[in-house]
Amino acid sequence: MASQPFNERVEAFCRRLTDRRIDGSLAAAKGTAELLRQLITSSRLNTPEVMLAEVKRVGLRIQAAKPIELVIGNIVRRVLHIIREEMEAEQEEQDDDLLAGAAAGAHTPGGGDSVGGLSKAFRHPGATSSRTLSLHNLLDQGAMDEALASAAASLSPQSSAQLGGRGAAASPGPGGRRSSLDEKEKERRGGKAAQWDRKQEVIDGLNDLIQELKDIDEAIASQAAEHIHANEVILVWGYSRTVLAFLRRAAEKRNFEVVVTEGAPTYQGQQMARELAAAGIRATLIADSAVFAMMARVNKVVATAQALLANGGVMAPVGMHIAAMAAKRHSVPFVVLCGIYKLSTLFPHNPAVNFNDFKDPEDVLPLTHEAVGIPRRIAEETVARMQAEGDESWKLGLPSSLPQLTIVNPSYDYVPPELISLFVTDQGHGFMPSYVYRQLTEFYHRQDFILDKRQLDQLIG
Amino acid sequence: MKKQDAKTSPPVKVVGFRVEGATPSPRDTSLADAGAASTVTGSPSPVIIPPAFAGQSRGGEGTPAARVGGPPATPPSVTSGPSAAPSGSGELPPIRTDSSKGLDPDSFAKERTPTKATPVGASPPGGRTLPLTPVGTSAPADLGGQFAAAADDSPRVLQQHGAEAHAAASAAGKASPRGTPAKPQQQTAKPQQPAKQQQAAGGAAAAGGEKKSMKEMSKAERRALQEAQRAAKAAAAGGGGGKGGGAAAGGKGGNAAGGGGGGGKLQKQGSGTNLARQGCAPGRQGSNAKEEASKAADGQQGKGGRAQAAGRGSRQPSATVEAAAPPATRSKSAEMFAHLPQPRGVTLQSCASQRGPAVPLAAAKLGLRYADGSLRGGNARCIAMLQMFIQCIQEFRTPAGREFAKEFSPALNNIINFLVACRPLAVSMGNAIKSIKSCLEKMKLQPPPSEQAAKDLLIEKVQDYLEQKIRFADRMLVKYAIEKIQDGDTILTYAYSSVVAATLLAAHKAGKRFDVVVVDSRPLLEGRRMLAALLEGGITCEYCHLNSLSYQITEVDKVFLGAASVLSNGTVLSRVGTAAVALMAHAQRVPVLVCCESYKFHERVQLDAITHNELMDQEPLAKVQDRPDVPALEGWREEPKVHLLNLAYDLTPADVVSVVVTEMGAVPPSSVAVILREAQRDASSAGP
Repeated sequence: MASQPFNERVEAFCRRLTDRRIDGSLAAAKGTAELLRQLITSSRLNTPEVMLAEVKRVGLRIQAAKPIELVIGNIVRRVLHIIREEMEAEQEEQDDDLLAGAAAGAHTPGGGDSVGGLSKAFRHPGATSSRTLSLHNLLDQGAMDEALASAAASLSPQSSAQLGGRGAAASPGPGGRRSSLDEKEKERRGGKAAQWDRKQEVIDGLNDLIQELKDIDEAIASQAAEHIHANEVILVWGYSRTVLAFLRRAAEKRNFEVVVTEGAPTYQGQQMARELAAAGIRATLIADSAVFAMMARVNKVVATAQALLANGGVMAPVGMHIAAMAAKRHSVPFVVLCGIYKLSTLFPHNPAVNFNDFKDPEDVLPLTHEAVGIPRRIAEETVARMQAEGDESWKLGLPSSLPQLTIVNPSYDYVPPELISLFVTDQGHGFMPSYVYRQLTEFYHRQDFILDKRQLDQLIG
Repeated sequence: MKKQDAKTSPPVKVVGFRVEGATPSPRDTSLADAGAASTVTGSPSPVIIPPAFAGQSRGGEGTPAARVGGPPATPPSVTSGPSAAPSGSGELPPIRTDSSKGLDPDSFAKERTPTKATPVGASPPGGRTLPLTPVGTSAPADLGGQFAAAADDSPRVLQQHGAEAHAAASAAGKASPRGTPAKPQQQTAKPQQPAKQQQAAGGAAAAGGEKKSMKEMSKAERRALQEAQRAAKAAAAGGGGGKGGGAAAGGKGGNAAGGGGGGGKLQKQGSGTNLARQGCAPGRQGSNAKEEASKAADGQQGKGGRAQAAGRGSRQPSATVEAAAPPATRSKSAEMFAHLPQPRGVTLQSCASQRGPAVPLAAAKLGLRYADGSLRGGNARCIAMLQMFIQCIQEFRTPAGREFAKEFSPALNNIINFLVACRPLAVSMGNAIKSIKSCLEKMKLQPPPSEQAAKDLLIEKVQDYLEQKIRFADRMLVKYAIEKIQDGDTILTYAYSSVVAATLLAAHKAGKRFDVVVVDSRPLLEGRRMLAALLEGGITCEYCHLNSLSYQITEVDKVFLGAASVLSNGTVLSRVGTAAVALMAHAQRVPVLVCCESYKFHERVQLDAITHNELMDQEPLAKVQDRPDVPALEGWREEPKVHLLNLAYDLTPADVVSVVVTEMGAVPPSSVAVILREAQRDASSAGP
């Protein structure tokens, strides 16, 4: 089997993540998706349950290699979601078959006519409990069933008889399903090489996901013309591939101007300005500090995010919080371009620390700078003085009054949802931060919102 | 009105200009003049038009350039002049490339003094003309000569003064420990300078060969050249093709228009560049129409400079500046900021090549330190300026039989013009100058018995200002500010402010235990200076970039900020980035304390940092210092679509400032207007 090389590949990918050799969240997402596709195509995973467990296991391993790269968890959730959807579809299909069979056998009135959510709810209440909660199946939930059942009891005898008839027709459903499942299960366990017949659909779903990642910039850029008006002044922060593609696309139809900040500490704004100019867009490079001053003449801020959190806030390149606040202050729309793969189920708790990545302090202050040497020099002088005075207390520890220097260099900013006007994603249309909770249930299964927390903690150590 | 003005001030009032966004603060107080002054000296275009709109939506109505310069159709010599000339003077150094060779300053002075031509005024109703007066430089040149003559008895040859300035400047370069830009080639150029002195003015001129040759031409030749240029420009405009460099075309057009404008032959480039805006305006409107038709085609079809100029209306003003400026200082700021004085890159060399006003050695030294950024900060600049004034007053020699006050004030203006040319004045400096000038005005009315008495009186005034308004105020301010620091606090500060540094160090000395977060930002990285000073003083510090602010702010108890000025609507004019810090702190409910002495208060009001600001050199933006891993933005000057914008200041809204700490105690920002009013009342009651 190919499992040994596969595990090695996973480990190699994890090492690259740990060593920060994978640049950006898109690369991490693509790598994760590719690995999971390999995992699923391996013939070992014959049942959906095994598949779910394995995907989770490998996903957690990758996530543990770089916990702050939230997209890894997102991709794992997406894959789990694909598998679960196939399981549900399979179940529904089986149920429909059973129902059709039962209807054919019993000829009870109303048995075969309804396929709506409500009537399904009556047929097999248990089957829907594991389904994703969404607008489409809201009424299928168990709680709703009970309510309907009690409502049915209080109805007139005639209608309750009708309902009872339907209920009777449906009643063989669960039992029959169970027995049929048992048979299938036996069949699977017995026939060693037997594949889950929905496996191909899962792989297709994964291929779609990988394709989605590949086309992500284009998908977002295709909406550019809707958001950028002629003669606007757009502010962008540092360099972003997605933003660049977006603006390029807009420039095909519109004539506008871009203000680019340097984007410390990576300082890729210079490159952004150059590439925008190469695309025929007027670009004005400013220092990060001038963002508030410039905001008075800016019509729109187009930003990117590292992660989109469950409350509608984002983790964005450091400094973006300032830009967002300045934009809010000037009532300038703050638009975040963000592939839906960045949508995370996590809520921000102390995000500036928990979801942050700290880089080399030398990027902020070169260690050759005079200020860096001052604390040490003062400490040495103090020790020398104490020695001269015969004071030996310094051996126990230097006096706490000595100056110290700390340099911090975080990579990301948390931008709270109230500062964000709009998310533009690859999923066709924009939405507000307040709609993020809906998107979560659209793309992930509720059971996967928290991947095994205990296991993750153990892996991180 | 003009005559009145003439008595009190030289024709070119660079003082009235846009001092870091100032209103005409430090100018003389002639009421009759006030209205004109505001139009003349304030922001030339009150409405900021995003450049993109200028080209398209504006269509046929007045283009921004026209707005800046005045109505396009008006004869230059009548209405447009007043507005044109002073803004021209704001661009002094580039303009001065024109020579006033062969002009005897003395005779000129005689001719000038009676009418006191304002530059425009170059053609007063009487048709009086000023032969070959370089508008914008004439009076200072003359007065500078006087000053220089008085100061060191050298012959009053303009270029000689230029050389002096150069010598002074290089002396400054050597003397100044921080090192003015004494570049090798400048050092080598220096010995040659005396030899060239008697030659055509431009010996060491930064300008290229063409300009030099222009200087050597006779008047007639020059005129012929102008005609040729005009023809060339017309051809270019008609053909609509190939003629590159809209900037150059604009400048030439300006000359041509000036030539056609009656008395225009006397208009030197000073007003010529301004006229260029008017001269170009109709042409641009025409091409605007064209552009409407082929919007998409524009810019990418290699139409060159003309198409660009047409496409971006408000670029024009800056383009005219470019035309006059030497290539090295060609401005490429965003067009949105075309109304601001462009960074000029005054260096030793450019100072030396100016044959306009000679300034005393001390002023030259100081101006260069302003220009190269080795002397920064409202207080430091103001203190250095006042000390320089004292020295200049001592050195000044009043011509026999004249009054000191009357002779010195033009000389003072000349010095100030030079400083402005080096770098726009800080509000603190503007206020100090205003106070000195009002003292001079009083001395004119009641002349002291002797020159020495007058000098002593003025020096005393300057020293009083220095001691009371600045040094004593700083001590008091620190005393009040320390009270706000408590043990265990974490104080956040941004960039470098002398008074904040003094406060923190004094608080530490007073035994308070607190940490400081020093926030810094490119390109100036002044926070490093703050960091070194605080660490040296024994304070534990944390250092981060402005972008990491949201990470740091949660741990901070108070924010201490310096200010260049607090305006009367309570907004704080300060180093760019301050507003972001204050805003973030406000959002986190962290108190924001702005430390600002009351002499930096200004009665102006301002809503955003764009209407008035100072543009700094863009080059530091292109290259990130200390980061060899970041590729520099090379060749941006040649890239038409790339612009760099380096703002010096921004404006912190009053509502995010908790308190302004002054030497009178801590007051809310809304009280600044009250303090200003009280100060004004004091000043007027202390008057005659």
